[in-house]
Amino acid sequence: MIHPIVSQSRIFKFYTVVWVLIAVLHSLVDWLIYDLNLKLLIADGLVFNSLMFFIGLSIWYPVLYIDKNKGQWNTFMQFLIAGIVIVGLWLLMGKLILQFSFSKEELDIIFNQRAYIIRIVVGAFQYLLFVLIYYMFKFYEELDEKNRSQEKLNRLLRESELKALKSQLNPHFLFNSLNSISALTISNSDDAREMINKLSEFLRYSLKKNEEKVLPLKEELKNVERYLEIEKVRFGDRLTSTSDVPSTCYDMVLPVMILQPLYENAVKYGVYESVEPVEIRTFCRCLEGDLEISVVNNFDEEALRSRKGEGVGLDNVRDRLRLVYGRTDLLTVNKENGYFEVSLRIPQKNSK
Amino acid sequence: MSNIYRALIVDDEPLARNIIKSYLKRWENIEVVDECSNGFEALKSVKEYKPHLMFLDIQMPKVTGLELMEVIDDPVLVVFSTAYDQYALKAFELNAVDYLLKPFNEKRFGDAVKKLIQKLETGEKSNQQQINSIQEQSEEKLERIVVKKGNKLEVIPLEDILYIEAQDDYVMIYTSDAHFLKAKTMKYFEDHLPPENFIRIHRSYVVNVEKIKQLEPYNKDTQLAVISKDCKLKVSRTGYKKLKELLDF
Repeated sequence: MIHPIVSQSRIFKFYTVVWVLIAVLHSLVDWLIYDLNLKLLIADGLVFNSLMFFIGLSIWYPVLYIDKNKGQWNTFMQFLIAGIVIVGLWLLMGKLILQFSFSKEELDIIFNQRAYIIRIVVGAFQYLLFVLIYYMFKFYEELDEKNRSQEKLNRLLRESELKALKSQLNPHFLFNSLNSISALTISNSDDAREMINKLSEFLRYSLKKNEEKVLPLKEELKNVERYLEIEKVRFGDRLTSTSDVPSTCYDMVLPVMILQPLYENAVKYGVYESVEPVEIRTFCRCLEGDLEISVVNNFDEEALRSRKGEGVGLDNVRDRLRLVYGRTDLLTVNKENGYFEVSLRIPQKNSK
Repeated sequence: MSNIYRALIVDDEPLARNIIKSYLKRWENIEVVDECSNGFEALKSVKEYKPHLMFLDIQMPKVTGLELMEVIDDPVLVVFSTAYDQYALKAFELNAVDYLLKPFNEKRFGDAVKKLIQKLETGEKSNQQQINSIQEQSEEKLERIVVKKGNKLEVIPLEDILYIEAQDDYVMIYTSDAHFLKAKTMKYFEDHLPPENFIRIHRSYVVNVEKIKQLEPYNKDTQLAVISKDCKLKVSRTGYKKLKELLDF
């Protein structure tokens, strides 16, 4: 947190003016009480208040760093000790400085017993005032920061909802699938009907995405299977797929439609951009109680070299995982030797 | 009506080709001479069969339909067919022979074929000009450049380009081991290459700033951009200013 006085020049000027006024007031009080020479009066006001001017600025740091978690009593004691040290130092240093230019007799007048008590009371009062003001500032800043981060979180949430909505229907996929169906009605109406069924089931499942809930892996994989079958009708031999999923993983849970973007990505950057056949492979396993899913596909490195931008879809997945699990390390991407691999790690305990 | 027209179908999805093929059966004066599933095959096929007309998908592996049209200089009329594309509206505005949005029905397809035949019978030339203007109007930045070397397509990734040199109505694109001629203007490349990497340093040169090794003085007013030992390009005064701004030296 920034220093509330030093960091803003307006406040710093105001602070300086206040201390000049206090110094003048101090000298005036001296003048009313004691019959002294002007030089000593001014020196007294100047030295002590300049000292407090600087000490006051530094009181911010104990306020900022004192550990409040140790209980009220402990906090109170810490502030009490800091106060005694600060007021003591203040008196000692002030008197030492004045001793350079004034004789002991002169100083004894303004440092009699009663004067000491008054000075201690004034010093303690100033110290308390500083602590109070700094505390208020700190409290206000923290509140502000909390509001801001809350606002940021809300905005992120809205944005990701919007993105999710946008990516729900991939128009390229939808219209091309409809075109394939159109072609099948001419040559093979049974296949056409089958494809319409698959597409309908796929769309119905996609609409669940709005409900922010988790589903068992087997449901997600079934949907992915439908999606790949539709794409295989479109691309024929250019797309094949295999999957290696142990049955122990079937009932592990994950957010709905979280896998879909991985496969869309594999099709978009693999099949769309390659004249060679592309194989999409799925591996699942249980890793330290979490579910780990990897999707691997080969791709044409030469073709992708000239095409920038990868995976708005993957960014969405990363965002969703962060919102659901509060972690940023759950999605990893690996790209080498013409193979593209995306791995998801889905925690099983803390999910909603 | 006695003319037989040769047609080429280019689409990376077999079913999408089938639908066009079966729609075309009704048209006795159109003969499908070949089907291609990508731009490379299509270019070869155009050379071999010299088709009158072509049904061309836009989204295809490695080279898009629009990129393919840039390098085909044989006179062939084109009807684009695509599912969903940012070029769709632009192409409509710029009246390409026709533009089919998938899926399309037989009547809509028939309209496109009628337009093709009408153009062929009145002897209109290819729509090369229109394709060029579709690309020129698009504000999207290029990600690669497609050129023809002999009868083969070459895709040049932007990071391979050293510089582009003006040559009358053409430009010459230089990479570290080859150079390619392309029928485009310097202005086009100046506008469509990403400005954070490509700068017009001279009337005759657009350079990839990442490839500049150093600048050395040439005479009082001009500098030379050193690409390699044997390749030094003149930098004009405004070019020097642009370089200075971008590279912040």
